[in-house]
Amino acid sequence: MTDVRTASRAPAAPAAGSFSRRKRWMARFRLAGGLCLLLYVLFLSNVVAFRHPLRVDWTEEGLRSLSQRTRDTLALVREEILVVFPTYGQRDNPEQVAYLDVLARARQLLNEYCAIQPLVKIAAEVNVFDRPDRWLEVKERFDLDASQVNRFLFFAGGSKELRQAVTPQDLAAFGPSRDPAIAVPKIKAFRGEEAITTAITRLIERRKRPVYFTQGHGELALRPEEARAAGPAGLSAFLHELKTEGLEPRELSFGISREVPDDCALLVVAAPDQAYSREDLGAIDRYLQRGGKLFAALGPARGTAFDDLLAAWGARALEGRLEARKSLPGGGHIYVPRVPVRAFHKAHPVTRVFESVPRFEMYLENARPIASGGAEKGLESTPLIEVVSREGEGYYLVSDRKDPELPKPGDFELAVAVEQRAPERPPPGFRRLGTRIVVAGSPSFLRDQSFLTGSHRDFTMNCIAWLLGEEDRVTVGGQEWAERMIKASPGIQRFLFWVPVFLLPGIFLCMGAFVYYLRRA
Amino acid sequence: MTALRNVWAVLLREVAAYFLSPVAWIVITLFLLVNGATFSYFTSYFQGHPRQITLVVESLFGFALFWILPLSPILTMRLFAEEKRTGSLELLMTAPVTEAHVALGKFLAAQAFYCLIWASLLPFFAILDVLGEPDWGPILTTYTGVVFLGLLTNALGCLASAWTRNQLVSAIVALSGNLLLFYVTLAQGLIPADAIEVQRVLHYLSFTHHFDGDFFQGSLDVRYLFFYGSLAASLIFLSVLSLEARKWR
Repeated sequence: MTDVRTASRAPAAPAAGSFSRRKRWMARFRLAGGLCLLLYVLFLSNVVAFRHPLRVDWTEEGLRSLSQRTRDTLALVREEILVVFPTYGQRDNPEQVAYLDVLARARQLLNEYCAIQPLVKIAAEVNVFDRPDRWLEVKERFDLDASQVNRFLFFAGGSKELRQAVTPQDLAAFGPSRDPAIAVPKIKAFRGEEAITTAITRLIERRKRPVYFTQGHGELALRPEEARAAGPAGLSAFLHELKTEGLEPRELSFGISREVPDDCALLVVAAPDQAYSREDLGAIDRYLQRGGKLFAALGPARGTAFDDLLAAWGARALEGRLEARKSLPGGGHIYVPRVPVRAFHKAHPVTRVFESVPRFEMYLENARPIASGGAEKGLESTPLIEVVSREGEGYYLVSDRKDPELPKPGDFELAVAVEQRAPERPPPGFRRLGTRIVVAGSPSFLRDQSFLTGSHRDFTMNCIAWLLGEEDRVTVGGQEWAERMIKASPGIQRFLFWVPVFLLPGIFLCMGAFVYYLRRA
Repeated sequence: MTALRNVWAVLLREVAAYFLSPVAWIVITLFLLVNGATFSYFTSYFQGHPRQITLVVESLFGFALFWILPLSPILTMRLFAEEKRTGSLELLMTAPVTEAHVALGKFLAAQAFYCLIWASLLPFFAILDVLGEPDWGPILTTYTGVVFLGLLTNALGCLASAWTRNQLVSAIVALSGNLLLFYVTLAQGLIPADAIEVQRVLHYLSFTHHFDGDFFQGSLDVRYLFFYGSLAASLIFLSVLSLEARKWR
């Protein structure tokens, strides 16, 4: 009798030519080939996907969507921009809690930048406390100092010589905290996209346009040490904002040349309290004649020749200062020099964007009304902001001459914008004057104590953008920082404990027990 | 059509097997219990925070994400290993179905049950919707991410189960594979700060980054879905090959 196993093995013995053996080898070969092909296809398709990001934003507020302006800016990036993000969080510090919230949201937004433009890269993201070794490495590599934490640092150029910093203050508008020691400051608006795009724009442009601040006539101090010495009355927040926009604030003392420099992108006259000499005014006038841009915030001094110059250019400053009448809770009223401004021009490029925000509010102190109109050279002046008297709210122009009686309340314009409009039928050889002027009746909104509150910053920077001919940069304080909270009463808190922890799991447990019972039955 | 019918038949058989077993109900109950406690804890922890609801959703998903590690191996470990051990796989293969039909049907059944487990969290979001105004965008993107990641981890579990006849070995192999995906995140810490390209590649491979950086934030990066999907398809293909291999061993 033949052994079954021997019999079954017998045909395989000649080996090489065997059908089954060949089939097995062919199958193995096919498997190996298939695996190689699979790995190759897998690798190749993922490389293609990796290089072509496609992102979809499903958030209700479009938090992860970038504007066309940002996309256009990113399309201009031609060399690597590295981003370093060192963080340092103290969860018991209310201010830092708010800052970290804002930075975290901006960090998410930065992902969109990296996805759209691969040349923007996150080079390092390090928590200074958690990874001190890594922080030292990053610090040395990017030449940072210990204070440069909790901000985004953008680097460009071969040796990273071009750098920009974006701080939490750039990224959001914070409201005043009830108590800075214990209460987290309220985040009012997020303007991360604006801040990040501006930083990238400055790295691309690689040039700084000078903004000259006239000095020597009692104007607000420009130098940081002087501004700091001036404390909340200083201009450091405004200056920082200008630098953020790629502008370079410089002092201008007319000195011997008596001319505004040719490279002046914008001339700022901030609250002079001494008269300008005829020569100085001549220099400003010549600068305006050749298409210059002027931003003037008038101080309390009045009746100077500078007022006459402005009047000739279509912005006539009135004498006196504004006061607002406030009713007191117990009856009666008082007059205060801090005037709330809520009315703005609905069509002018500087202010029309405020139509889309829930609230526009500025406060001007010791403001002088500015009257628009009366300009020559075909100039047209437009009131930007004004106060309107109404029932229970009156505004009075108080003269320095100490009038025994207050005049009747009235409506007053507090800032005007001047430019030359092209006539409908321009005469032959007509050449439009490029001059643009904004005159505000008070410098108080430029000071550190007010600049970042209300709509002061937005109004100021919109004026600057308009003066520089960059209307597309006119913005309003970014996206609203939406609050999403549960108003929890004790009953709701009990509900939030019992339902998720016991009721819902209990339902599934009962269903399981029912199935088990059915199967047993 | 026949192929679809076959896959559907296998899928129904497997889903029924899940629901007729008390283990499935116990898994869902435990999943809900732990996540319910987490949800309750975070709603009270973030009480008064202006972004309370957003943070609760993020924290809940962030915590629940770690369930993927053991969940998929538990769901898939018995798919082929059990059938191999009892010999019922041979019986199944005598039916007019191919290995691909069986593998796909079993995989889809595991995926369906996995989706059902995650869907059990929906009542929590409904509660948030009643008591507040959650942004449903991040919830939907996270669910999309979880479903696609489930494709990957379940496919890995299927492959592990197809390789062995021991359920425990299958579960451990699948769990190790899932852990490898987590280790990518840890590996990023070991790479020097100036190796930006390597960091970017690791970021592409690290699903914790995908969730923390995008899905939790309401942003859907299709690249990551493609990554999960392509890897899952490859693993399913390998599972089919592994089943076919028993013919020529």
